Amino acid sequence: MKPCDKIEAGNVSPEAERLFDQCVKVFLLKGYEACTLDDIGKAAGCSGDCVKEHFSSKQELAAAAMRWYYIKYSRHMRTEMAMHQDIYSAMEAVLFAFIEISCDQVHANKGLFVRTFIDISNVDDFVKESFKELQDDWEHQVLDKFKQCQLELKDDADIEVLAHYFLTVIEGLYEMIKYGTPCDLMYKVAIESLGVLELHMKNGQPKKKKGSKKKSK
Amino acid sequence: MYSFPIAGERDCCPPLKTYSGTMSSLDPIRDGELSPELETALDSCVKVFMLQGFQHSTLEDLAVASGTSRDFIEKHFATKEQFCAAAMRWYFSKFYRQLRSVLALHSELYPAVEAVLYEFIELSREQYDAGTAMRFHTLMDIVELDPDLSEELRKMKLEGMEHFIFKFTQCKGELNTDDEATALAKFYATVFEGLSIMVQHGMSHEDLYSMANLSLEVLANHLKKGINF
Repeated sequence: MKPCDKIEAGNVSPEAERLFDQCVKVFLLKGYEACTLDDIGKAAGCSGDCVKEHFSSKQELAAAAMRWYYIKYSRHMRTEMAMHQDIYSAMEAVLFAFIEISCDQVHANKGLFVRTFIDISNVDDFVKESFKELQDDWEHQVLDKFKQCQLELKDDADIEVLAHYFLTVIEGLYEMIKYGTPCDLMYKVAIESLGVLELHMKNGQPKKKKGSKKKSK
Repeated sequence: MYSFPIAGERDCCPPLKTYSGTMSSLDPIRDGELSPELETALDSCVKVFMLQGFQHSTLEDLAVASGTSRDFIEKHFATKEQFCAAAMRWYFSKFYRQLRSVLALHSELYPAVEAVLYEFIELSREQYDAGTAMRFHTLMDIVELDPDLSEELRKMKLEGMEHFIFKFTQCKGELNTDDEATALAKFYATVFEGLSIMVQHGMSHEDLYSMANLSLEVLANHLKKGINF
């Protein structure tokens, strides 16, 4: 048994990552209600005591694991949106980054299990609250970007519907990648989905992005 | 061998594959339809897996959860794996049968895709409102941990896609260029997956239709000039 490192200031050690990654498999195989923190520690290669040092209950661990799944994506997404001023480039970068992270997960043989956490949230109020917080945060990030760039749109009234459209596409991309759609095809899908945004912009796609590296995939 | 009859299917589509099922003639699925009671029972069984664990759950647990008897469960499913396979078939057959039938009713691409999107929203919302299939994703994740079931899940997903891609290929003459068909079909498959999740997140009926309509702008943009809907 390896000792599990501390999780400090939101930075997660590789051991803690393994713990988060494995806990969902333990929940599925041994049951969310029936499994113990010892079972989860064992699956992740650390002692139950070590897990208990950081998490007093399964609920806490499940919520932390869900947050970890979320942060893994949202940090990149947030950075991409901040790096690109215009809405087209920002959404393109978000979609591409999302595909890249998801494909890396699949290639590293790490499952994409976030949906199980969502199902767990339907039977556990503590996890549900955490999930709702994360979901709202993610939605606001995308919505805020559209609001920032509203002058680029033909009609302000499209802000919300376009933001929700991209949230829908992102959810779909996750499922498609999870079930084995080749990643190069997912980039093409992302480009297709951006066509909607282009149609709702005053000046269409910014010229500088044409022929970008990912698009040629 | 159990196959689900497809209503309204035409000979324009590839032949349907059937899965080697284990259900007997007492199978409660008739003409591809499952009673609402049985849908709720299946969902309760998946909840047992989620809370008690796939490894630890017994066929007896499933019998209690579904409000049936152990004899009934054992008559239909020899193992938990067979139960999972049947639950997957139930979910996919219900959607695929209905969507294929809608797809086959329209010879042109745009009305076909539009009708399938709307039908998908209706089916998904119906299931959400009835509170069934709430743990569908957990079932899929359990299946992912079993190599044989995982393979069967992929086959089912592929089969659903085959028919959809076939429609795009069949109507490729309506598109600006022929090679757009596959990417467009995958784009709409992504939209279906996304809509399914948004339904689970409680997105309103109206917003779901707005998402479908926005996605249709992509197809409209790929249609040859002169084809308007």
